[in-house]
Amino acid sequence: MARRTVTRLLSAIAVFMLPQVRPTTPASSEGRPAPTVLTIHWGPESFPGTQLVDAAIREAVSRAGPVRYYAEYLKTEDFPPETASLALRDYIHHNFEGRHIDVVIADAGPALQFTLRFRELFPAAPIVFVSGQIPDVMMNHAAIRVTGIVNDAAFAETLALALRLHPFVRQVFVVARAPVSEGYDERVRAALRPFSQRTELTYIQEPSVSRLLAAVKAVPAQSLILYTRYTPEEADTAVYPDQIARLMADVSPVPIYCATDLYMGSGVVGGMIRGSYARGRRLGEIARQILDGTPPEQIPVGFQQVVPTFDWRQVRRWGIDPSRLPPGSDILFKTPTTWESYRRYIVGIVAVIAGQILLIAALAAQRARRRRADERIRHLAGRLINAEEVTRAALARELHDGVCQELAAVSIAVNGLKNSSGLIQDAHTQHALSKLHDETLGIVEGIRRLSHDLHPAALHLLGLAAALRAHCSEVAKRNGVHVGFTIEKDLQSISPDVALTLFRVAQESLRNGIEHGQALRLSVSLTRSGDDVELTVSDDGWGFDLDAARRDGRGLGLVSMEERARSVGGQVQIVTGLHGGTTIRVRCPAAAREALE
Amino acid sequence: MPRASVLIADDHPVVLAALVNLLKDTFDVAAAVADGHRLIEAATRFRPDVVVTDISMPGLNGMEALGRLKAARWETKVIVLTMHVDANLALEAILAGASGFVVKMFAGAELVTAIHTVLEGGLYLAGSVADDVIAALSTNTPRGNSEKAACLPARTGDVHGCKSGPPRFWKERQR
Repeated sequence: MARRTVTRLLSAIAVFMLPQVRPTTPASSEGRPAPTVLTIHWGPESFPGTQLVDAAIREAVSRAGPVRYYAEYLKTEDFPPETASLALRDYIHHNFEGRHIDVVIADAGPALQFTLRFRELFPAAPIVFVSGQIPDVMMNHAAIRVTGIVNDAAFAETLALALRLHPFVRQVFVVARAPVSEGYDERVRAALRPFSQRTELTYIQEPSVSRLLAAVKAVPAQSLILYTRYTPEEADTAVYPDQIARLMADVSPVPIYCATDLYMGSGVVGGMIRGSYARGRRLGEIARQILDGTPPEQIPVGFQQVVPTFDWRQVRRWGIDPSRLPPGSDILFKTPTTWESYRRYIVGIVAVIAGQILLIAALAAQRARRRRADERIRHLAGRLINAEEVTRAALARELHDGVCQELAAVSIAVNGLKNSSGLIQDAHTQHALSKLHDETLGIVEGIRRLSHDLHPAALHLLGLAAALRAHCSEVAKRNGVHVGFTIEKDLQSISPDVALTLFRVAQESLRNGIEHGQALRLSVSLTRSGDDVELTVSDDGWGFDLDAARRDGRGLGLVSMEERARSVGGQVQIVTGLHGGTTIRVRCPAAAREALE
Repeated sequence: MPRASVLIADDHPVVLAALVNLLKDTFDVAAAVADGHRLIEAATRFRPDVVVTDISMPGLNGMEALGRLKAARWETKVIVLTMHVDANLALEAILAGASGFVVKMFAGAELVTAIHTVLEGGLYLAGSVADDVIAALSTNTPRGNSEKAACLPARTGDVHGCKSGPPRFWKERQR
């Protein structure tokens, strides 16, 4: 023992110092051959799960160092049991004669029975087993160098789980038939006995596969099937239990539960399962511990953990609520959903879209707000224009009806004075009175003109056409220019607001043309088309830069023109350019107010 | 020969006073009133020879009062007095039965002459509108609906607005 520790120490140092040397001499660093491990599986090599278990053992046992690994198969189900046992004994005896076997692994109860029965094949080798129960021999003889794991199939746990998932099930059909395995059926019945209180347990014991399937097909709804294992009485071809699982699942009208992972993927729902891979790995680990020097007596017999395992496709097929599956369940065959596969992309895209939607909404809100503000401005502009017109009209009337009347009275008085008798008939006084009378007339004319400019009373009195005609001739007279006026037939009714708007535009256009454009010939025309009335004012003036005029203060007249037109639902079109004359056209509905609101 | 009696109506007190002052030496001013209803009352009571009335007055305006006086078929002559130099208005007044049309600004010079003229059975038109009115009367039916027919020709470059239907001047105060 001490010597071995020293050599291990030395080898460890060697490994530390010459790390590149070790892989080239894998057999042993001390000249000794690698330890030999022999696994005896129950059943043929092709039995489902066997290769998986074997690979797991091999992987675990050779993890910490090289081993010579062998696997043999005890085929007591395929051949007469005694013959198969003796044949394997002889086979091992011949093949391994003269070889030292360091650890024997017995996979399943019959294999353990075999190793114990033919212990002389490997007298000194510790045995690592997996079996449904602790072998009797361990109870009686403590020092037989045997250890391992117990993993009896969790039939009861599986049925309990199935009944929890299907609370309305009152009847359970159990398919458990393995005549070659001694006492198998009884073990299953014993395990499930506690459930006979809660549910009706029916064992399907048909001897042939066809009759089994017929029975499975006939089970009533509101029941379920617990499948442990099935071996037919006689079969033309070898039928493995997992194939039976698939055949049953194909015809069964109810879910099938099982306690072994060998059937997973065959159409069964699942159950409380002790996994084959975990079993093999645990066996290999124990063997490795023993190879590393731990005496098997110091390794306690363990129980393999049971894991609730489900086939996701079957869970969906039978409409089992996934949230009711026990926590920590092993879900197999679950293809990731689109969400699971592309979660980051989906989240990213949704975030981007949401961001854009927010942006768009914000912009739309901004726009709506702006539009409301514009509308309010337009409304206010309309009211401002209106208020201005009201004030001007009041002023105009005051001037005309008040001041002018009083001046008329003065004029009458002066005349009366002039005609009265006495000293007043003196030529000098008469001349002064005449002059006074004329001056009064001049003042009246000035005020009349001012009043007219402030508010065209003629618009109400005589209508748009006449008012415009009068205005044109007055402008012509006052400025010494030619102003043509044309009117297309009868204009019919034009609302007062529209008439005032058109009059103001004409007034402003004529003034601009004469004052800024130095125009000599101007023309005003009024036409009607359908519900619209159109005013056109043209001149032969210099024209102007429209954009520049809008920018500086001179454009105020233009802006007010446009605002006026808009307030009655019309629009202004201005065609001008330097040295090109100007044409201003306004078109608006004749009954603007009603159309606008 | 007794002095002719005159009834004066004008809603503007200063003008009314001036008119009374102007006429009181030559004529017997029967009453001076400020609106159309009082004008009818006074005319009914005094039966004046001549009524001088402004057009725009509150209540009953001058044109309406003219209509009533004419409807009563009295001998009373009516002279319309206004601020507006407007041939159309003058024409309307004459057609409604007025015997004279005088512009206020020239009333001091013309009104006495106008009253004398109408008392003698003549028609008095203010110099500033006379030509236009006569021209209009000489063409076609002035009260027709056609704009062309009612439209007066331009004079001295001034264009008088025309409008189909009767002028609406006397509605001004009511609007």
